[in-house]
Amino acid sequence: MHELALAREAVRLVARDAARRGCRQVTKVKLRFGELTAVLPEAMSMAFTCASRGTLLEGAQLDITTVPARARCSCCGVEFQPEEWLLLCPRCHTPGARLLSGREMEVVSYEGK
Amino acid sequence: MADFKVILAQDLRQANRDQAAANRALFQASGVTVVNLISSAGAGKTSILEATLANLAGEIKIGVIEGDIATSRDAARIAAWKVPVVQINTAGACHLDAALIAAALPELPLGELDLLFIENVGNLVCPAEFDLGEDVKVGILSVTEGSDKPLKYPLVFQEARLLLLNKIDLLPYTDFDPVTFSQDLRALNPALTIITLSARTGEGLEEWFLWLKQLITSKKQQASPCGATA
Repeated sequence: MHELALAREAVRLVARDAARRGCRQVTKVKLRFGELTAVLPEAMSMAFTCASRGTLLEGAQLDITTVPARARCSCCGVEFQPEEWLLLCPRCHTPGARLLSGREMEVVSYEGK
Repeated sequence: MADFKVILAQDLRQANRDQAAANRALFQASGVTVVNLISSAGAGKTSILEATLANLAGEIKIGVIEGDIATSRDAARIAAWKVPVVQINTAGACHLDAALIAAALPELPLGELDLLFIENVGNLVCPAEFDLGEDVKVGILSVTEGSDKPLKYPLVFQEARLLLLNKIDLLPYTDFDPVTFSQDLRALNPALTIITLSARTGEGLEEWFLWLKQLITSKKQQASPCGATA
């Protein structure tokens, strides 16, 4: 997938904020990805190492959380964990439920000194 | 400085979304309809584009942005049809993003165009994630790729408004199952329109051309909701 583009954007966002605060080194970065984004933590980790080279984030510890997918049926309103992408309601079998979570791609926080 | 922690809670797609919104505003102001073509490498994006230009370039002003990892071969193919074309080489990146499109736009006579095609990098996965500012995403799948692809690569089929099923002339030589294919697509995206065609034989192309013309007309009507002219 496009982990490198996402890692570059994470580094850009954190470096900009850290520089503004006069931070000398970022020690930890926390990211969050929904399970339906097809972002692989291993690939993300390697992309982050490359993208952070020569920045305030170089050497920072990376903490990646995966957010489980949740959906709500648009017909009967039941909330469920969708299997794959079909978003088929397990109760009334209506397809195309509304996704509540699972597509997140976020920088949650960072720590620095 | 002592150790500290900052809660950022920022979306990694936000910068792209903002740029896409700026592109969309520019397209709107120029009155151009923009179609983002997404498929695997080899599904027939460029061949369908060539067939489209051959048939429509006389009556509709069309421009093309070509996205590829390397080479300007596709741009050279498209330029043969005497339409404005810009090649973007992503130098390894697996998708186009809104900033790459924004950088290419000054090279095109946007105000003169009715229709702008963006041919994305050949990849069924990543391009679906990135909004470019287009009006619609059109997915292309060829029957030789197999009817199981919608469930395996779902996002593009959910994001697309139209799916072109290409190389239909090869159907008898494959195990492609049109019934399962339609059922899976309906479950993934009930609003998706499907047009079956062959860029090689020309079968089904008329329906695609008609769809494009209707899209351009409806965009122009949106721009002036009363249909009034000065």
